[in-house]
Amino acid sequence: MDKAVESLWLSYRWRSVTRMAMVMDDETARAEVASPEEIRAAIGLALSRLGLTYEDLADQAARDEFVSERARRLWFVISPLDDHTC
Amino acid sequence: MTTTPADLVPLGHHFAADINDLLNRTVTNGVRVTAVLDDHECRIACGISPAEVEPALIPLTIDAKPATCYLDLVHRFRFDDEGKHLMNTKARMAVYADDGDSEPWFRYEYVRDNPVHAEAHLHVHADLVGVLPAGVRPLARQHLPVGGRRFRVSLEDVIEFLVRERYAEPRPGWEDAIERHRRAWYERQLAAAVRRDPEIARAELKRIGKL
Repeated sequence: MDKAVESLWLSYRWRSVTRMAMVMDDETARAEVASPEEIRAAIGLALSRLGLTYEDLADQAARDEFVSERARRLWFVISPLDDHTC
Repeated sequence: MTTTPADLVPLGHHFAADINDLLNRTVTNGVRVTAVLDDHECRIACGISPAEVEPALIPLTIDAKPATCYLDLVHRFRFDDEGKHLMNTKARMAVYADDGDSEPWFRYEYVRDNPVHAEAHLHVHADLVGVLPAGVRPLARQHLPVGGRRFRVSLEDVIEFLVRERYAEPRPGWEDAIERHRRAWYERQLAAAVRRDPEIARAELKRIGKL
């Protein structure tokens, strides 16, 4: 096999194997790996839907005065794991 | 070898499947919570994905009828130091009267290693005018302790409360499902407690003649 083709084939096979390990989906549940970029984008999207910045939400959490219940719920999901404002 | 989030996908899947089984055998219809793992943690909630971090509220209804109430359920797990386990770091179970933006009825929260408030605590979103002393914060802002890390209120307890008080309609056989899942929960928590204090476990087993 041509070296370049072999390299491409190995690369494709590795990606397939990795991809399989990154998603587990059956009739009982789904589990999936997200890249840091995906998580950042998802957090940005959720914040923009509420018209807030991350800093806004952190400030509301520190004062325990959220502008809405959705804001409170979102903070619980995106706050740092070692944050204790909840 | 360094553990990657992909290595922990089966664990995340297991936790999510366990919650789905409990919910759909008791008070919900076809609900599917999912697990999303990144470099730092595993989130489990309904409606989340790599493109969505905002959880959806779970309608408590077992058929096409309108939901009697809604559940917000979130678990966040940190990878442990060995990279082999998921350690529950934050958890939230809140019950709402509707799926809008109104305040919840109550919410149980767990924030591990919380130096400020009880790790496992309850917020009740109600005012007790004339009952609370002057200057006391509203109940919704109080962190009422509930059982500590190992013996905190579980999803099974919340479901049982909602059914027994007739706030949620159960499926046939719901009690068996609660019992089976609760037993598994107790066993996991007890195993964790033994790992934490093996000497106490060993002494007690010796005292009752099992060692």
